[in-house]
Amino acid sequence: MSRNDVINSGLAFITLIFFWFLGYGVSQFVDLPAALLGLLLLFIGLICLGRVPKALEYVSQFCLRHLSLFFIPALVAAWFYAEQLGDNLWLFLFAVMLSTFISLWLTSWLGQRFFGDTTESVSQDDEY
Amino acid sequence: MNINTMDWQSILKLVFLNQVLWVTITIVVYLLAVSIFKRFAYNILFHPILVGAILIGGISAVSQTSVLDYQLYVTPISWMLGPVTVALAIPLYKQIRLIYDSGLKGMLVIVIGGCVAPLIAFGWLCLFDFSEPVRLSVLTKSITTPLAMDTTNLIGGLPEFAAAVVVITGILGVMFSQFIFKVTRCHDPRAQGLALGTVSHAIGTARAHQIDAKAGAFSSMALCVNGILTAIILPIVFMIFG
Repeated sequence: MSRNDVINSGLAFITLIFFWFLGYGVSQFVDLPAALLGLLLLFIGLICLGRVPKALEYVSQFCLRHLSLFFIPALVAAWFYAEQLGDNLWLFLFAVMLSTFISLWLTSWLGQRFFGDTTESVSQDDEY
Repeated sequence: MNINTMDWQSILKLVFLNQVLWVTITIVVYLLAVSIFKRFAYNILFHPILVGAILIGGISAVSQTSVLDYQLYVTPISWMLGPVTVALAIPLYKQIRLIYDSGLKGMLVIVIGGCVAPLIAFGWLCLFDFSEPVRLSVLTKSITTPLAMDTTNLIGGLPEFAAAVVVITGILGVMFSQFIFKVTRCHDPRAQGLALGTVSHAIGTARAHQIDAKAGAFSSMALCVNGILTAIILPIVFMIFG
């Protein structure tokens, strides 16, 4: 990684933070999550630009690959709430299990009906 | 109460030291969890989020650090979640042609899947004696964690609880997927990717990438579309009816 790459990656990272702040600003007027608004603003920015800058792509891929790190604090805190549920914890977990099972069943069945017998019309296998 | 400046300075210094310490511990534990995940051939039960959270839970229990203190010390990590979520704009931009090409059919699968999962969970919880914030925390169960936490916060649920529900949903979805794909005879990688991305968000997308690149692309499309639609629609519904 050359010095230029490091500077560009830093700038790309600052861009992400900048768009988050922008989203935060807009969220004072619109009742939507700040991060979502930042995401949509950056998305509009990318459409206007017509391409993804290389450094931004690299930095975002790096961040998304290590997304799990940022949830560890939340998951540790969830333990604290789970204890408060007491006996109801199993009923709660069953709700999550049941809904996941049914919705996965439904989406895979629907998807297979819709896409299974059509010819391959989409050819983007090298993307992402 | 008379607080002198010296005390404040030492308190701030202590918090700062603890922050540096716990952020470092969390990053090291995460790296360890990733290597454990690799060692167990990416078995979903050893997902770094699960292993990481259990290890951190253990360390904080041994060191007698309360969950609330830990939350305070790792604020830098929690804060970073916002800008990292913004990075989802890049895969969304790259999938835009795919969204356009898969058309109404793809959208229909995502929207139906995105509505059914939270509604079943919510309906089930309404049958029993659960508090309102707990019930609301399952409405974002199928969308990627950062969007889920923000959205849950807006509609009056518990963000940390929502994060746990999202992670459990993701892991269960991947565990069930092989069996369900067999039963529904779902062989098409595009359909498999759509189902995994719609129900199991980022964890499902990681699994879809293991199937093949096409499944991965459809999965990340479903993840972005479902996440964004849910995060837009839920707060609006609550604003109108709430």
